[in-house]
Amino acid sequence: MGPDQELDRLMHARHVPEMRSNLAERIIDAAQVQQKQGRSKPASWLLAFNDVFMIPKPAYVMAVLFVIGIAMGVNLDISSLVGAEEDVASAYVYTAEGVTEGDWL
Amino acid sequence: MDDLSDEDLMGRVQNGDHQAFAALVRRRTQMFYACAYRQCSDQDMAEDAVQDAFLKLWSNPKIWDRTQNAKFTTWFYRVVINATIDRMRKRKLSGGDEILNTLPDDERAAQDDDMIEQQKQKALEGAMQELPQKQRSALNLCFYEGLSNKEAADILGVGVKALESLLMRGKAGLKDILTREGILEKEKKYGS
Repeated sequence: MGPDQELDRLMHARHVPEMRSNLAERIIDAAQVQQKQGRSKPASWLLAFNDVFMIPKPAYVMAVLFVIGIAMGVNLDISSLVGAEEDVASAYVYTAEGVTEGDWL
Repeated sequence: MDDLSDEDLMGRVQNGDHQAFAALVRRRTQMFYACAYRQCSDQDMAEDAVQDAFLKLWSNPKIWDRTQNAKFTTWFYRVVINATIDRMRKRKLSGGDEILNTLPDDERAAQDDDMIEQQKQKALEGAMQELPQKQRSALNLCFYEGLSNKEAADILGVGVKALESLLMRGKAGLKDILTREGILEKEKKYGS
């Protein structure tokens, strides 16, 4: 047998092994799953939107806020607050001093 | 559903009919699996490629235009071949296993004569994989799937003359590789 005939024989005898799984049913099932996922798209979008506003771990969030509050409190310039209080108090005193007896009567 | 043509089933698939899709898949899976396997010589990859192709069709059935494509199968060959090439490319990129040693174990343990024939078949699979993609696809479509040169040329997006050239070069390439590996005898030269 010449090489051309042998090649033709080999090509004709080329073997395709059986499918390992029930491929058709696998595809049909996968298509059904894909369809369900496609249908639930609006619902999943709403859930994702809701998740944006969800606090994932409330205890951690509270703890972090507490620490931030403490840090802000420590770093706050207390003298400015005291000065403001004094201003209010002195304003009251000055006003009281400025009131004469005649004003009351 | 069984008496409906592929094209009629596709019309129903385009309206979201899952039963029609199931009928089409059951009818054509074996045929396209064989095509994909001949392209890549790997069972798992061929199965995955056929699944990819059908799921692509299911998720977007409008990609099949009945007015432009006379036969569903002719058109779907292109989808399957492209899906197989994609899978092969991904395998190559990810540095996956070589895809040639895929003959099942039970076949490896055959008797001597069968063994020699299997070695020849294995060499043929290897030689097929050495061919350029288009030559391999041309041989598969014309030689194994029995498509006309015109149909195969349409699927591969080339002219008929170019397809004939691909077939000729493909076969010559196979012959060279198999001769080099000692599977085919060297051609005897007569005359001076």
